[in-house]
Amino acid sequence: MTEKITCPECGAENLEDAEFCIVCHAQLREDSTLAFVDPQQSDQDGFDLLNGEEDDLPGLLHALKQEDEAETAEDKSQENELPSITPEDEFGKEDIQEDEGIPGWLDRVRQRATEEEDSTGEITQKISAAKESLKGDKRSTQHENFETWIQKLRGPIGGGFDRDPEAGDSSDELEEEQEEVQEKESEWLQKIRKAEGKQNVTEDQRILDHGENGLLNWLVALEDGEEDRSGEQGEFDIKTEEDQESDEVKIDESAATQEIPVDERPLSVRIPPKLSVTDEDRSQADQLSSMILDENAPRPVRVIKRRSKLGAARFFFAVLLILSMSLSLFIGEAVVNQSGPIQPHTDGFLSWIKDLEEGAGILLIFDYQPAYSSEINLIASPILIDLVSRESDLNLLSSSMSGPILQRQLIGDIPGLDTDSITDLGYFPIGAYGAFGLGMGISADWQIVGLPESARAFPDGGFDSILILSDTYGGARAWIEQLTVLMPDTPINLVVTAQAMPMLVPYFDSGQIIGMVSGLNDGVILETELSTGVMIGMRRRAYQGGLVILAAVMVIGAINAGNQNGEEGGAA
Amino acid sequence: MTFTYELLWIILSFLLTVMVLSYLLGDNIFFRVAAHLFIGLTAGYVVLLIANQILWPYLINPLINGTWPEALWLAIPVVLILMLLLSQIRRFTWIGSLPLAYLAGLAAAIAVGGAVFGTLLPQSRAIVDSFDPARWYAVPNQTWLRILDAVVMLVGTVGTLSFFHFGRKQKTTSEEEYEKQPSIIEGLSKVGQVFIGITLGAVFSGVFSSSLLALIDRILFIGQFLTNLFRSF
Repeated sequence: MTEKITCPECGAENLEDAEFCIVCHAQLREDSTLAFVDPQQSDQDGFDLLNGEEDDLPGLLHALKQEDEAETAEDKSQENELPSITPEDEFGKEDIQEDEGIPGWLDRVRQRATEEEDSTGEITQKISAAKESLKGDKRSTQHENFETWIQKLRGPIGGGFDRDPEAGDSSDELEEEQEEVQEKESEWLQKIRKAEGKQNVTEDQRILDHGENGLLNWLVALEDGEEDRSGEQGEFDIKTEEDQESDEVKIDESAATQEIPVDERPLSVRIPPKLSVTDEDRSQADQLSSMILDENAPRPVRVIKRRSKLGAARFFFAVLLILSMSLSLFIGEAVVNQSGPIQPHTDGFLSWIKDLEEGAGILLIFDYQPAYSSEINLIASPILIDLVSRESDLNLLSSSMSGPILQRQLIGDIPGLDTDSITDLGYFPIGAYGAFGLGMGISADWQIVGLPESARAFPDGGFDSILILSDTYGGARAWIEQLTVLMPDTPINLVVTAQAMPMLVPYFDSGQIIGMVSGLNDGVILETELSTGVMIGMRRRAYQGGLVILAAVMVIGAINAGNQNGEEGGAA
Repeated sequence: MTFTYELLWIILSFLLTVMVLSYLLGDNIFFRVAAHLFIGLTAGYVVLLIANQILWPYLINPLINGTWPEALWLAIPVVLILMLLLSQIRRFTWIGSLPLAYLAGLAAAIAVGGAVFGTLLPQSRAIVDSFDPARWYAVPNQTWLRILDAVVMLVGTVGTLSFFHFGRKQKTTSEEEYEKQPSIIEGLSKVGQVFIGITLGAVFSGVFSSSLLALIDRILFIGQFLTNLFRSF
């Protein structure tokens, strides 16, 4: 294993035989000259250059520089006495002067150095190089500052345009050269300049862009940029984000040069003033920071949980409902109709139909949709059978689009019905308009040929009673509002669905209608009271079973929804 | 089993019913086909219904067979119809303002008149009548029940109207005061909310009941169809 030498300057490890550090290139050993100089010969001869304080290279160079300055001072003093002295003479004089106190070994070294070209050691060569560099530094001080140097650099470049008037003869040649330069100028650079709005580019800049020395271009651009930036900073403009973005874009597009931001503001400007923060400002800042934190905070992804489970549960309960109702409808013996408690409006309806005279004129208004036809038909069938048995004069009017079809379906199921006793008054598109028009009797004075019977039905007909079949509260209310005002003496009865009944009860309480039946329960009551032979019992059993299942489903759904909300609240 | 015209419609009804009920399995092509079929049939049916039940008997037939004075009277709705049709063209949109204004004004007049004279006034009078002592003692042993019924009716009506009370103080000193209603109305509106909740619950149960009856009807139809089908073979 080879030993390694640690660099005294940077601490890096180097090989044993290395003389200089591979990292910092510092000298790893004592000066070879020192080794070359035999300690035995040195013999403490008072050689100042190799004393303990100057055993390193910088110190040695400093000593040499001091010696050189001393020699220069001596030369100046001698110049007064000897105006012309050649270097050789100076060297010889130095030898002469130093011969008296110079040790013998040094004399031999110097003599050998004069005789052999490669006799100078490495240290000596470095010393010579250092001397040359010191001289070079003196030359470089001719550039007093960087600006003057830049001005000199710019001089020959831009001088082509600020040249001496005596050089006017060569202006034509120069213009030709410029045109050539412009032709050579690449298209992409022209596009960039157009994009930047620098269409009026000065010839200086063009030449700078096409200069052979890129470093000079960069330096000149840097100088210009600093000047421009200093001007901008003096104005203290507040730039928007767009401006900043545009500035960034410009910097990116300048492929040849890049602006190096240099803060040339005075130190007092660069140091921000001391902030005075009040409690209100602090609270607002806290709120803003908390809001920003909340916005950036990861939010839980709302995943639709148990979708498949819900779908399966929904399907299960639907199948259960259908199966249970099917069993109630098709299995088991026929159920006898059992009527429940009779409501006042149902009792009023029963009283009306029982007191109805034979051959009375009845206006039937069909105002329901096909979806509710089964419910309406279930209730209306016993009524119509009873009316037909009383040989009533039936007048049919539709205020729903499907009314004409539904009335045919309902009337067609009535056994023993004489179609000659039925008058079809047609279709009124809007219930309120139709009721108003019929109630006002506007068509009474009209004798237009071809008008339908409904146009003069009320004035000429004089119905004994009106029966409205409706599936919605709104539809029934429109007819009630108009007819109770315009035809107050004509009794009105309602056959409505269960969903419309609750909102229509007040009209019974106010006496605007004399009776109302709705839903399956009232249908059973009607069948029981009128004994028309319509079997509702099976449906009622299926209806009750369905209600139980639906109630159970609603309870389970409510509990499940409560649990889900609890979980989500806990998770949140 | 003879294949009759009626049987075809029954089979079609059965298939469409099953297709609609297939929504239990989720949205599928069968349900969508049935829904689109119903929409298209309804649109076509409405066009024919209007033409057959409205335009022909009330407009075209009187114009053809009526006298000149009668035709002049009918020219008014014809002009209104033409103006509505022209308003569908962008350049003549303004022309439709007149018939629309006529329809809107007529509808508002009928609706407001019906609501005031057909609902508000009769209902209010019914509440007043419910406090008539003659009614209380009309039925023996139900006097207190009638009184309770009248009180509940009055409180429910006033509470519901208070809930929909939109009046505010004209001069307010702060926004909170502006938002806050008078304390009496606030209290009555709370009571009105209870009555409104009970009413909506009753309506919901009615919707439930009606839907269940519709389902029973369809199940009965399917069962009868299948029963007859198996019996025929």
